[in-house]
Amino acid sequence: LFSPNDVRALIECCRADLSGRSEAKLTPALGPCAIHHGLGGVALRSLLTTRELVSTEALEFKQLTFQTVAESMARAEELRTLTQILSDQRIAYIALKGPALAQVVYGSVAARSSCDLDILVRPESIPIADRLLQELGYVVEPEDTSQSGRYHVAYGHPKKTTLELHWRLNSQRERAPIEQTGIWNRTRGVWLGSLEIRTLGLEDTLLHSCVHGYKHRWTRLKWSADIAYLVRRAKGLDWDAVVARADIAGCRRMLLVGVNLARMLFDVSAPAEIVRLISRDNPAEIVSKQVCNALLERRLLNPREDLLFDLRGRERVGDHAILFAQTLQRIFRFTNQDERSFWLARAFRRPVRLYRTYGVSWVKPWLRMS
Amino acid sequence: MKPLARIEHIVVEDLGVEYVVYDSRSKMAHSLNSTASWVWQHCDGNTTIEEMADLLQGQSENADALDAVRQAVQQLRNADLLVEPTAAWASTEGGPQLTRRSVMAAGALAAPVVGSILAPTAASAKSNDDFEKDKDKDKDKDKAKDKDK
Repeated sequence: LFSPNDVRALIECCRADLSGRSEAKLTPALGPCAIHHGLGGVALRSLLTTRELVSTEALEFKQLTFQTVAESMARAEELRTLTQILSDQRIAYIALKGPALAQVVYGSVAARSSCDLDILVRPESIPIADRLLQELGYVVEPEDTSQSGRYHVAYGHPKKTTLELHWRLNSQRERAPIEQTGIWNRTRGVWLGSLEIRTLGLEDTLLHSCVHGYKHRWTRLKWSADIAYLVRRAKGLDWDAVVARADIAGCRRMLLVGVNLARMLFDVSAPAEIVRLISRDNPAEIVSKQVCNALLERRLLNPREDLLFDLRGRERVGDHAILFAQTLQRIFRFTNQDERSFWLARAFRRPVRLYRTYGVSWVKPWLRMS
Repeated sequence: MKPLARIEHIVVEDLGVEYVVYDSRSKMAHSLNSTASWVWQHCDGNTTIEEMADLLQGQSENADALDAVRQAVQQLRNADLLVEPTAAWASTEGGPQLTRRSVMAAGALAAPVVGSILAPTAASAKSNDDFEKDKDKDKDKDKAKDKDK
């Protein structure tokens, strides 16, 4: 639906929005491109800053992006309602990503779109939060068994947005337990309309955004734009603390890749110390270039590149070994489809399944018959 | 007549020269172009339509300011963004916290437009993980089709 030129135009919109310049240009498929990358609001804001959009092409773009802006505002309203209910029940929570992040980073919930709401609660609060959500009509969605190590429960609602209730920030597969650095002691308030809600501290937001972007291979521009806006606009970001916590959580390289992408794509300047760390970290540079090329060419990584990408994101040898083992496990694990298409697998698995269910007793009738 | 902007259950997002107004009561989102935004900003319960037209006239080169303000007020009323004209404006503290900006960047007055949609709040959107899963499913389907062929 859109070309590399549209991606470049979207990047220009973000740069113009970041610097307050008025050089953003409308390209034929900027609308679909901005929506795909979750930055419809930023593109609209950037183009509307100095002029009215009146041409037919511009009105189409406006109509498209208005829809995503409306969605984001409705989601923010839902987040307000939910966090109010949690506060009333004295459940400590942290609003992750989505509207809270958009408000902190872009100064507007409409600027950046999200697909769902994410709320982190302490593990011991999960049962009561679950009960409250079910009372509100939320229904637990089927468990996703493809991920190793669950860290959230997904809820659906017939009339509302999807919600993920987290008890950890990331899956164990990411090998980046940021919560171990004490995120609950550093939460900050952010105003959504007339209500102040709790979200991650600035440094933790930066780290979490980097890990999350890396997990999704930075395939949407919104993830690198989050870093760019945060680095440019957040006042009092304690970089020493960010690096120290990244080292504890084992995600320093993910942090460096995130900041490097913000520099490469959005011309954001980072502190000299961070730039020095990036220049010393060859894999971080390689991965950043790979991401930039993939974004412009709209190319997905093949399985080999994907594994390498995953390995390059980790700096600890132990994490490499675990990741490699997990990948092997994933490769050799039989899926339902494998079983359907490969009858021999079923034949091999059946005795094991019977043994697990009935022990050796299922063999006895056969022995008697023979 | 002194129109008054409704503020209860209303959230406003500032997008440069335009506003998006979300009404959490009706779940409707309204896109206000520059002229409609300007008029809505001035619906403080103290300013008459004629006074607004005079103000607007001073900021633009268009002669039909009164007509434009009337149209805008009508559209805002249709979108349920105004309270009844008889209601008094309680206090300026309760009014919309909006920043004043230059509406007519190009110098010409645009006809007011208030576009409204029902904000899509249903679980139509999916999480990114779901997108990845769907991609995998699609790939599997494609492979199955290839095999069938």
